[in-house]
Amino acid sequence: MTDELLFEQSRRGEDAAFRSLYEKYRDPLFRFAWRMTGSVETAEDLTHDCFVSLFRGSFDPKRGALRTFLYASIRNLSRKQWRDAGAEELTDEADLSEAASDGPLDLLISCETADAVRIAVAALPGLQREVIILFEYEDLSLDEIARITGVETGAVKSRLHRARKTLRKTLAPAKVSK
Amino acid sequence: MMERDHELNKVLRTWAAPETGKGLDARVWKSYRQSKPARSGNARWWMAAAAAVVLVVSAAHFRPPVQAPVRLASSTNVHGYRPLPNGTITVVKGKRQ
Repeated sequence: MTDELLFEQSRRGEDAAFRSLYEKYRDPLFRFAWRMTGSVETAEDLTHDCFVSLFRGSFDPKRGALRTFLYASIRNLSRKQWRDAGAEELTDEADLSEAASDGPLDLLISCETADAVRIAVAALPGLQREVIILFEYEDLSLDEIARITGVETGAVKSRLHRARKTLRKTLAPAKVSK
Repeated sequence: MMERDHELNKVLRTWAAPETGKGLDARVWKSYRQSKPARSGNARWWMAAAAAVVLVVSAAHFRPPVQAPVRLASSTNVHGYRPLPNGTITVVKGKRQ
């Protein structure tokens, strides 16, 4: 059964249909929000708000797929949370003033690999970070990421390429040690 | 189509996400149920009201017309009629004119 059909059933009050959608998308949406915000509590709040917007009728099947709507919704909620917290808007440019003074080897010496990855991904510019998360962790296609982020596929490809280049350089010692 | 970098992806996947807490499920279901009764309750009320209106209109429209009581015309005047006692029948022949 398609997501859109389940959505229509849940709108008519069928609990089982809403449960199916919730169980399918809860973890992926939470993971994305957690990797973007770094906080379990915030990620759970954003996931809750995302589903509330769904069953309160914000989704229009004529405008696109349900999956795209959910990811775009939680992306927008994450950005709003960032703005409300006083953080910078998502950009595609590296902030040189915050460049890590430690080189890749220092990172590996001081951190476990998972921590090194967390720090490296968090250090990416916001627009590159969301693309790398959606592509590498959620296995979405470039076209779908383009629809979620509201840009051309070429822009997504460019951001992904730059993000990967930075991560390969930052995490090179982790890859060699494996 | 962008190729997958499996080596990089393998390293990236070492950063695993935690599980969601049970609290999240309870919150979402609570919000879902709070929004649900208002939607389905209103819908049922409106449907019942609409059905009642349809029934009333149908009943008024298809009611058979009330017929006026039928009056039979009669030329017989029974004023002063008294039945004969014991049912005796007497034939009175009138004079011919």
